Amino acid sequence: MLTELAVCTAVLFGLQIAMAPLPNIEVTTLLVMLYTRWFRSRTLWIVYVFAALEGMVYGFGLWWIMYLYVWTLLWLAVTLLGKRPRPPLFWAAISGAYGLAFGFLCSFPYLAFGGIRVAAAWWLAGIPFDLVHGCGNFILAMILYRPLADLYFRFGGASPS
Amino acid sequence: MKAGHRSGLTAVVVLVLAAVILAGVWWFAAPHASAGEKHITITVTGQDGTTQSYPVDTDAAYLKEAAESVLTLEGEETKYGFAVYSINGETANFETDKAYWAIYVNGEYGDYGIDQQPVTSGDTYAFVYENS
Repeated sequence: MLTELAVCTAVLFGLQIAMAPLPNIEVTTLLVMLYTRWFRSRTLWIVYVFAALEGMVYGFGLWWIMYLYVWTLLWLAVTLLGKRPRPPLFWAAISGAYGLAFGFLCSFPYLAFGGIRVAAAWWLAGIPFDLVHGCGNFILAMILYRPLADLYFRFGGASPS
Repeated sequence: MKAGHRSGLTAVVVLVLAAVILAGVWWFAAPHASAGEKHITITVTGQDGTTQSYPVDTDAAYLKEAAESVLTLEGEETKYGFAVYSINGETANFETDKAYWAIYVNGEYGDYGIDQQPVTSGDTYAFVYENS
Protein backbone atom coordinates (compact mmCIF):
# COMPACT_ATOMS: atom_id res chain seq x y z
CA MET A 1 0.00 0.00 0.00
CA LEU A 2 2.85 2.40 0.86
CA THR A 3 4.35 1.89 -2.61
CA GLU A 4 0.96 2.48 -4.18
CA LEU A 5 0.55 5.77 -2.28
CA ALA A 6 4.09 6.85 -3.22
CA VAL A 7 3.52 6.12 -6.92
CA CYS A 8 0.19 7.97 -6.87
CA THR A 9 1.86 10.96 -5.17
CA ALA A 10 4.59 10.95 -7.82
CA VAL A 11 1.99 10.81 -10.62
CA LEU A 12 0.05 13.67 -9.01
CA PHE A 13 3.14 15.83 -8.57
CA GLY A 14 4.63 14.98 -11.98
CA LEU A 15 1.42 15.81 -13.84
CA GLN A 16 1.02 19.06 -11.90
CA ILE A 17 4.51 20.14 -12.97
CA ALA A 18 3.97 18.96 -16.55
CA MET A 19 0.67 20.80 -16.91
CA ALA A 20 1.74 23.96 -15.04
CA PRO A 21 2.23 25.95 -18.30
CA LEU A 22 -1.44 25.39 -19.17
CA PRO A 23 -3.33 28.12 -17.30
CA ASN A 24 -5.93 26.61 -14.97
CA ILE A 25 -6.04 23.30 -16.83
CA GLU A 26 -5.07 20.57 -14.40
CA VAL A 27 -5.75 16.95 -13.50
CA THR A 28 -4.86 17.37 -9.81
CA THR A 29 -8.54 17.74 -8.87
CA LEU A 30 -9.56 14.62 -10.78
CA LEU A 31 -6.71 12.55 -9.34
CA VAL A 32 -7.40 13.68 -5.74
CA MET A 33 -11.06 12.73 -6.27
CA LEU A 34 -10.13 9.30 -7.63
CA TYR A 35 -7.53 8.73 -4.90
CA THR A 36 -10.18 9.59 -2.30
CA ARG A 37 -12.52 6.99 -3.83
CA TRP A 38 -9.72 4.40 -3.84
CA PHE A 39 -7.67 5.06 -0.72
CA ARG A 40 -10.19 6.78 1.59
CA SER A 41 -8.44 8.52 4.51
CA ARG A 42 -4.98 7.39 3.32
CA THR A 43 -5.39 9.96 0.53
CA LEU A 44 -4.47 12.63 3.09
CA TRP A 45 -0.91 11.26 3.08
CA ILE A 46 -0.77 11.86 -0.66
CA VAL A 47 -2.28 15.34 -0.32
CA TYR A 48 0.15 16.55 2.35
CA VAL A 49 3.27 15.05 0.73
CA PHE A 50 2.13 16.69 -2.53
CA ALA A 51 1.75 20.05 -0.73
CA ALA A 52 5.23 19.69 0.78
CA LEU A 53 6.74 18.90 -2.64
CA GLU A 54 4.96 21.89 -4.18
CA GLY A 55 6.42 24.14 -1.47
CA MET A 56 9.93 22.80 -2.10
CA VAL A 57 9.66 23.52 -5.82
CA TYR A 58 7.72 26.82 -5.87
CA GLY A 59 8.66 28.19 -2.43
CA PHE A 60 6.69 28.37 0.81
CA GLY A 61 4.83 31.63 0.11
CA LEU A 62 1.38 32.81 1.15
CA TRP A 63 -0.14 30.71 -1.63
CA TRP A 64 1.25 27.57 0.03
CA ILE A 65 -0.99 27.99 3.09
CA MET A 66 -4.05 27.38 0.94
CA TYR A 67 -2.50 24.19 -0.41
CA LEU A 68 -2.69 22.85 3.14
CA TYR A 69 -6.49 23.00 3.17
CA VAL A 70 -7.92 23.22 -0.39
CA TRP A 71 -7.15 19.60 -1.26
CA THR A 72 -8.26 18.48 2.19
CA LEU A 73 -11.61 20.20 1.58
CA LEU A 74 -11.91 18.35 -1.75
CA TRP A 75 -11.09 15.09 -0.01
CA LEU A 76 -13.77 15.84 2.62
CA ALA A 77 -16.40 16.71 -0.02
CA VAL A 78 -15.70 13.54 -2.04
CA THR A 79 -15.70 11.41 1.12
CA LEU A 80 -19.10 12.76 2.22
CA LEU A 81 -20.67 12.70 -1.26
CA GLY A 82 -19.21 9.29 -2.04
CA LYS A 83 -21.14 7.49 0.68
CA ARG A 84 -23.51 6.29 -2.06
CA PRO A 85 -22.74 5.26 -5.67
CA ARG A 86 -22.55 8.20 -8.11
CA PRO A 87 -22.19 8.28 -11.90
CA PRO A 88 -19.11 9.84 -13.58
CA LEU A 89 -21.31 12.77 -14.65
CA PHE A 90 -21.86 13.63 -10.99
CA TRP A 91 -18.13 13.54 -10.23
CA ALA A 92 -17.41 15.64 -13.33
CA ALA A 93 -19.87 18.25 -12.01
CA ILE A 94 -18.20 18.18 -8.58
CA SER A 95 -14.80 18.60 -10.25
CA GLY A 96 -16.17 21.57 -12.22
CA ALA A 97 -17.73 23.12 -9.12
CA TYR A 98 -14.42 22.77 -7.29
CA GLY A 99 -12.70 24.62 -10.15
CA LEU A 100 -15.28 27.43 -9.93
CA ALA A 101 -14.79 27.69 -6.17
CA PHE A 102 -10.99 27.43 -6.26
CA GLY A 103 -10.30 31.17 -6.27
CA PHE A 104 -12.76 31.76 -3.44
CA LEU A 105 -11.20 28.99 -1.35
CA CYS A 106 -7.72 30.32 -2.04
CA SER A 107 -8.67 33.86 -0.96
CA PHE A 108 -8.85 32.89 2.74
CA PRO A 109 -5.15 33.58 3.48
CA TYR A 110 -5.61 37.05 1.95
CA LEU A 111 -8.57 37.55 4.29
CA ALA A 112 -6.30 36.81 7.24
CA PHE A 113 -3.37 38.94 6.09
CA GLY A 114 -5.00 41.78 4.13
CA GLY A 115 -8.62 41.94 5.28
CA ILE A 116 -11.87 41.42 3.42
CA ARG A 117 -11.16 44.14 0.81
CA VAL A 118 -7.94 42.51 -0.37
CA ALA A 119 -9.48 39.01 -0.29
CA ALA A 120 -12.57 40.12 -2.24
CA ALA A 121 -10.50 42.01 -4.81
CA TRP A 122 -8.21 39.02 -5.26
CA TRP A 123 -11.17 36.67 -5.70
CA LEU A 124 -13.04 38.99 -8.12
CA ALA A 125 -9.97 39.52 -10.30
CA GLY A 126 -9.55 35.77 -10.62
CA ILE A 127 -13.14 34.84 -11.51
CA PRO A 128 -12.42 34.55 -15.28
CA PHE A 129 -9.63 32.09 -14.39
CA ASP A 130 -12.05 30.20 -12.11
CA LEU A 131 -14.56 29.89 -14.97
CA VAL A 132 -11.86 28.41 -17.21
CA HIS A 133 -10.75 26.18 -14.32
CA GLY A 134 -14.32 24.93 -13.77
CA CYS A 135 -14.91 24.19 -17.48
CA GLY A 136 -11.53 22.47 -17.80
CA ASN A 137 -12.12 20.33 -14.72
CA PHE A 138 -15.57 19.28 -15.92
CA ILE A 139 -14.40 18.32 -19.41
CA LEU A 140 -11.30 16.46 -18.20
CA ALA A 141 -13.33 14.54 -15.62
CA MET A 142 -15.96 13.66 -18.25
CA ILE A 143 -13.20 12.27 -20.47
CA LEU A 144 -10.90 10.64 -17.90
CA TYR A 145 -12.91 9.66 -14.80
CA ARG A 146 -14.38 6.43 -16.16
CA PRO A 147 -11.24 5.16 -18.00
CA LEU A 148 -9.00 5.82 -14.99
CA ALA A 149 -11.48 4.26 -12.57
CA ASP A 150 -11.81 1.20 -14.83
CA LEU A 151 -8.02 0.96 -15.21
CA TYR A 152 -7.50 0.90 -11.45
CA PHE A 153 -10.29 -1.67 -11.07
CA ARG A 154 -8.66 -3.88 -13.71
CA PHE A 155 -5.45 -3.92 -11.65
CA GLY A 156 -7.34 -5.16 -8.61
CA GLY A 157 -8.31 -1.84 -7.06
CA ALA A 158 -11.59 -0.67 -5.62
CA SER A 159 -14.84 -0.66 -7.59
CA PRO A 160 -15.07 2.37 -9.88
CA SER A 161 -18.59 3.36 -8.77
CA MET B 1 -34.53 7.38 -14.81
CA LYS B 2 -32.12 5.84 -12.29
CA ALA B 3 -31.43 7.82 -9.10
CA GLY B 4 -27.72 7.86 -9.95
CA HIS B 5 -28.29 9.47 -13.33
CA ARG B 6 -30.69 11.96 -11.79
CA SER B 7 -28.05 13.01 -9.24
CA GLY B 8 -25.58 13.50 -12.10
CA LEU B 9 -27.94 15.68 -14.12
CA THR B 10 -28.93 17.67 -11.02
CA ALA B 11 -25.26 18.26 -10.24
CA VAL B 12 -24.64 19.50 -13.80
CA VAL B 13 -27.61 21.89 -13.62
CA VAL B 14 -26.31 23.27 -10.29
CA LEU B 15 -22.83 23.60 -11.83
CA VAL B 16 -24.13 25.60 -14.80
CA LEU B 17 -26.17 27.86 -12.50
CA ALA B 18 -23.12 28.41 -10.29
CA ALA B 19 -21.03 29.34 -13.35
CA VAL B 20 -23.65 31.83 -14.54
CA ILE B 21 -23.92 33.41 -11.07
CA LEU B 22 -20.13 33.61 -10.80
CA ALA B 23 -19.88 35.30 -14.22
CA GLY B 24 -22.61 37.74 -13.13
CA VAL B 25 -20.76 38.60 -9.92
CA TRP B 26 -17.61 39.28 -11.94
CA TRP B 27 -19.48 41.39 -14.51
CA PHE B 28 -21.17 43.61 -11.95
CA ALA B 29 -18.61 43.73 -9.12
CA ALA B 30 -15.14 43.51 -10.69
CA PRO B 31 -13.49 46.68 -12.01
CA HIS B 32 -13.42 46.90 -15.81
CA ALA B 33 -11.02 48.86 -17.94
CA SER B 34 -12.36 51.84 -19.91
CA ALA B 35 -11.66 52.30 -23.61
CA GLY B 36 -10.06 55.36 -25.27
CA GLU B 37 -7.05 57.55 -24.57
CA LYS B 38 -6.11 58.11 -20.95
CA HIS B 39 -3.64 60.46 -19.33
CA ILE B 40 -1.93 58.85 -16.39
CA THR B 41 1.24 59.20 -14.35
CA ILE B 42 3.55 56.30 -13.60
CA THR B 43 6.23 56.64 -10.93
CA VAL B 44 9.04 54.28 -9.97
CA THR B 45 10.66 54.43 -6.53
CA GLY B 46 13.81 52.33 -6.31
CA GLN B 47 15.65 50.75 -3.42
CA ASP B 48 17.54 54.01 -2.72
CA GLY B 49 14.26 55.91 -2.35
CA THR B 50 14.62 58.09 -5.42
CA THR B 51 11.50 58.47 -7.54
CA GLN B 52 11.21 58.94 -11.27
CA SER B 53 7.96 60.15 -12.78
CA TYR B 54 6.58 59.40 -16.25
CA PRO B 55 3.48 61.13 -17.69
CA VAL B 56 1.83 58.66 -20.07
CA ASP B 57 -0.83 59.05 -22.76
CA THR B 58 -2.15 55.58 -23.49
CA ASP B 59 -5.00 53.55 -24.93
CA ALA B 60 -3.97 50.60 -22.79
CA ALA B 61 -6.72 48.92 -20.82
CA TYR B 62 -4.42 47.52 -18.16
CA LEU B 63 -1.38 48.85 -16.36
CA LYS B 64 1.16 46.39 -17.79
CA GLU B 65 0.73 47.63 -21.35
CA ALA B 66 0.79 51.29 -20.25
CA ALA B 67 3.90 50.74 -18.11
CA GLU B 68 5.74 48.94 -20.90
CA SER B 69 5.43 52.05 -23.07
CA VAL B 70 7.81 53.95 -20.73
CA LEU B 71 9.52 51.32 -18.56
CA THR B 72 11.62 48.23 -19.15
CA LEU B 73 9.89 45.43 -17.30
CA GLU B 74 11.19 41.95 -16.65
CA GLY B 75 9.22 39.19 -15.01
CA GLU B 76 7.31 36.07 -15.82
CA GLU B 77 3.79 34.86 -16.39
CA THR B 78 2.52 32.88 -13.43
CA LYS B 79 -0.81 31.21 -12.85
CA TYR B 80 -1.76 34.33 -10.87
CA GLY B 81 -0.77 36.80 -13.59
CA PHE B 82 2.44 38.59 -14.58
CA ALA B 83 4.98 38.82 -11.74
CA VAL B 84 7.30 41.86 -12.03
CA TYR B 85 10.89 41.11 -11.01
CA SER B 86 12.80 44.00 -12.53
CA ILE B 87 11.98 47.59 -13.53
CA ASN B 88 14.46 49.58 -15.61
CA GLY B 89 17.14 47.05 -14.72
CA GLU B 90 16.60 47.20 -10.93
CA THR B 91 15.66 43.78 -9.60
CA ALA B 92 13.63 43.10 -6.48
CA ASN B 93 14.66 39.61 -5.43
CA PHE B 94 12.17 38.04 -3.06
CA GLU B 95 14.16 34.85 -2.53
CA THR B 96 17.36 36.54 -1.33
CA ASP B 97 16.15 39.93 -0.02
CA LYS B 98 12.41 39.41 0.58
CA ALA B 99 12.05 42.36 -1.80
CA TYR B 100 9.26 42.95 -4.33
CA TRP B 101 7.76 45.67 -6.50
CA ALA B 102 4.59 46.97 -4.82
CA ILE B 103 1.94 48.75 -6.88
CA TYR B 104 0.12 51.79 -5.49
CA VAL B 105 -2.89 53.44 -7.17
CA ASN B 106 -3.33 57.10 -6.19
CA GLY B 107 -1.31 56.42 -3.04
CA GLU B 108 -3.37 53.41 -1.99
CA TYR B 109 -1.90 49.92 -1.99
CA GLY B 110 -3.10 48.23 -5.17
CA ASP B 111 -5.49 45.32 -5.04
CA TYR B 112 -4.48 43.86 -8.40
CA GLY B 113 -1.45 42.62 -10.26
CA ILE B 114 0.09 44.69 -13.06
CA ASP B 115 -1.83 42.88 -15.80
CA GLN B 116 -5.14 42.97 -13.91
CA GLN B 117 -5.02 46.61 -12.78
CA PRO B 118 -7.37 48.65 -15.02
CA VAL B 119 -6.06 52.02 -16.21
CA THR B 120 -8.24 55.08 -15.49
CA SER B 121 -7.48 58.53 -16.86
CA GLY B 122 -6.07 60.94 -14.28
CA ASP B 123 -4.77 58.23 -11.95
CA THR B 124 -1.23 57.84 -10.66
CA TYR B 125 0.31 54.38 -10.56
CA ALA B 126 3.42 53.91 -8.44
CA PHE B 127 5.88 51.02 -8.51
CA VAL B 128 7.74 50.98 -5.20
CA TYR B 129 10.64 48.72 -4.19
CA GLU B 130 9.68 47.24 -0.82
CA ASN B 131 10.94 44.61 1.62
CA SER B 132 8.64 42.35 3.58
